[in-house]
Amino acid sequence: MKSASDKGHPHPILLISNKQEKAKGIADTLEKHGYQVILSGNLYNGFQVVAQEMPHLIFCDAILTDGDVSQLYDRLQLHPILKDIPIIAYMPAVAKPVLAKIKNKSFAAVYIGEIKATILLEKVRAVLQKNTNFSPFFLPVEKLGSSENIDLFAPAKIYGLCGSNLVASSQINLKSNYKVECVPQDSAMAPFHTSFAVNLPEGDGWSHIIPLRRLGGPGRKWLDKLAQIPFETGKDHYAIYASSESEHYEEWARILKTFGIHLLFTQSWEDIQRTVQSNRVHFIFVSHAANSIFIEKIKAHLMLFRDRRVHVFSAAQTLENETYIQPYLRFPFPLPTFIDVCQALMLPIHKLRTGIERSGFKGIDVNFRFSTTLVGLDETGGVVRTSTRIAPGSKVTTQDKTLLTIFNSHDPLTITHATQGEKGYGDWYLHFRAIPAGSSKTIYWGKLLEKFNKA
Amino acid sequence: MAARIALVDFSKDQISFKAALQHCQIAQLPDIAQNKDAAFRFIDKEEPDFLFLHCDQFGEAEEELTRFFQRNVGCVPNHQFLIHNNPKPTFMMQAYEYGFEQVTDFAAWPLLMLNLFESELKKVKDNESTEAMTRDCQRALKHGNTVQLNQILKKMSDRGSYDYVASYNKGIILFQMGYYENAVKALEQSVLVHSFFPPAKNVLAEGYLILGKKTEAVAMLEELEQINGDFFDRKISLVGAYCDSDKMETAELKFKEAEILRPNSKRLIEAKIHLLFRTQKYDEAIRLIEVIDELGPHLALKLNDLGVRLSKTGRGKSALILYQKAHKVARSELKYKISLNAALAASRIGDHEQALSYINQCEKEYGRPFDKSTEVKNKILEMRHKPK
Repeated sequence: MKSASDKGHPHPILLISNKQEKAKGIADTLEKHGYQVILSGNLYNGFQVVAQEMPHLIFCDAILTDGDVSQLYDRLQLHPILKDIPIIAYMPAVAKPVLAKIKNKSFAAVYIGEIKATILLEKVRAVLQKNTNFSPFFLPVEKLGSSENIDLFAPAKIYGLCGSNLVASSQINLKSNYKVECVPQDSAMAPFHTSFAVNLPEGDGWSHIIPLRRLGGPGRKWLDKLAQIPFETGKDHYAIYASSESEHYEEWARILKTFGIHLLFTQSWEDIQRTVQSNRVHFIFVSHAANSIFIEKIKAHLMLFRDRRVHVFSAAQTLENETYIQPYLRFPFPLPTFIDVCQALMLPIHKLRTGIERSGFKGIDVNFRFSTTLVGLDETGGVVRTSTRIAPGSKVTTQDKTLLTIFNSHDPLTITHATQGEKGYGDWYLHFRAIPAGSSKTIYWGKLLEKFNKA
Repeated sequence: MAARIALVDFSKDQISFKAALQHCQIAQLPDIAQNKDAAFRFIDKEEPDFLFLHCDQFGEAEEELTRFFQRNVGCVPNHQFLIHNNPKPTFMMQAYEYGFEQVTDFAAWPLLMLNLFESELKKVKDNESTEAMTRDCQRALKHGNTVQLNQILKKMSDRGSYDYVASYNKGIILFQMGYYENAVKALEQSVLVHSFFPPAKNVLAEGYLILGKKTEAVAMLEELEQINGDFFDRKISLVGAYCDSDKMETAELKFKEAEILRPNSKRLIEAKIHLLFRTQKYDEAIRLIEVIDELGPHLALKLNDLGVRLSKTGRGKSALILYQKAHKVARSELKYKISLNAALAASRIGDHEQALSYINQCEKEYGRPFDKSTEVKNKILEMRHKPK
């Protein structure tokens, strides 16, 4: 599955160099660190790319086959939108005539000498540090005078029931205590809402197991009439309680036994490995009391669990943002939530999928409506703040009149990436793209600024 | 903050909780009630919708407080919070018997509270929400407003098929009103929607006992007993259930277990009376009735049955003495039934004036005349006018 970039905003950087090998090396280094790199072999093409892509930084050879970096600088100064794009001028060695040319111009930095990854990254970070999470063109909502609360709609599918659980899928990670309304595309069906789901990573998104009692609203009644998904279940259900301390284990084991779940205690990574190999283990619960060495080992071997279809969920905070570890329950958690999660993870989701496919049921198309706060707009779309994560590449729609007027289109918005908020816990910035691929960002941004200036 | 919150601290280490609160930056934080009396006074006066309870264990004092809080607003899991930094699963389970789902620590509770408040406050203010209906029902019951009560119960029925909180609270209200059959139906609905909700199962089991469904009651209580063997009230119910099922050895065993959990509880006497009844030691049982504080519906039913038996076998005076004693300790919602049976017993021994006085008392306790009371009253009046 595509993971949300946790490295900050993937800033586009334009690299203008006629030395192909060197340019490729620099591009690789930058891309490894989460930047998007656009390559240009000469100044002429470079100008065109700047107008089209509005890079957040230009790294340009001081001397090029068709000109030099000072020409680039002068040309950008004539453009009201592009004039503030920072430029790093590069010289392999000190060349006095070149230095004389760039002397009186405000370059963000001048890099002289052999390219070294650490120095390069240091310089790039220093230039972009003011905008770790956002584009430098970013306009905060306060300046736009737009409404702050925006509802977004993400497509989802309802597949049916599994016992007293609803099975659905979408590209949105439904979070506890965060209300999401489910609006069927068929207007004859009433909507329902939930504030809880167990999300199991699958493909580019998540499968959701939601206990029926956690659903409310007028649409709740039609859900009871959904068919049960046929699937085979085994006899013995084992789960692992992973912790360096045995505190609380026995009590949890006794409680879960009444729900048909045998909880096994493991105190080391070797224990876990042995248990997973010798039993049909459905899930591993990493206790809040597990120590960091133990947790690091589990983290390092997540692929093993994925291959063996063993779910991992955790109350250890250091595992909060691991995509494969779902869900993270902050300790102390509500007792029924813990039991709901354990019961949901006992369901063999892969067998459910087969059951769904065999039944031939294509699912009911719905939209998950979730509330967000508009943080601001940038040259590709904008940023909303919300409490939930959504898979990059997902399409969402909005009915917000102001936004629809701004974008001048009803086309879906594409979530490009998600970054975690500065406060950390439960706060996500969803960056979305509103303009079609291939269209000029400068033209779009110019029109948008004009619209706001007039307003 | 517009919401009324009861903030209660029963922990030993009250100072550190107070210090943690000072970092919350919540404007107009209510005063912390640091003992039982202060907490009861606050709840009685302010009728708060939300309870935040900081405690080290979930014992007798915490249970009493929760019951008192729920008398005003019913049981809504999102309105009851426990604050504890490292709760054991058994602690959480014990609290869940009273519908406490939310457990939070010093660091997280202000954020959790603020997040939940926005949505929960809306529900409290929206008269059509389950939360508001539950609260209004409890208050209508408390103030004897039967018209309003019936209106709200009708609305709650509509959402019972998917809302376990609504059907549970409806069941509780009907139980308190003495409509056991309908109460059982509502509670069964709650359990159907949420198969693991101990508050509903505990009361449902008691309902089964009253309706004579001993097997179902025992099965339900034992199922919960497997998860939490430390719930005192359930032990008492089990003593009664096993007595009814003629399993005296198990009943005795459950009595001993209850005794270990709370050696000084007056509810042990209630269990003792069940045991004495089963061994037909009626005189001893009747003597003990005076000692107990409150008579639950299951035992009240047994006393009623004994009274009817005494009255029908010509021991009407003994029956009346039994009723007088039982009436003193019966829960307020059960008193009218005892008065009704006392009227019948008095009528049988020919004391029509006393019978009339009992039937008037019965109607007063019920809130209005009802079919059975009118029938008995007419019969008494007819007998009074008959020549001797």
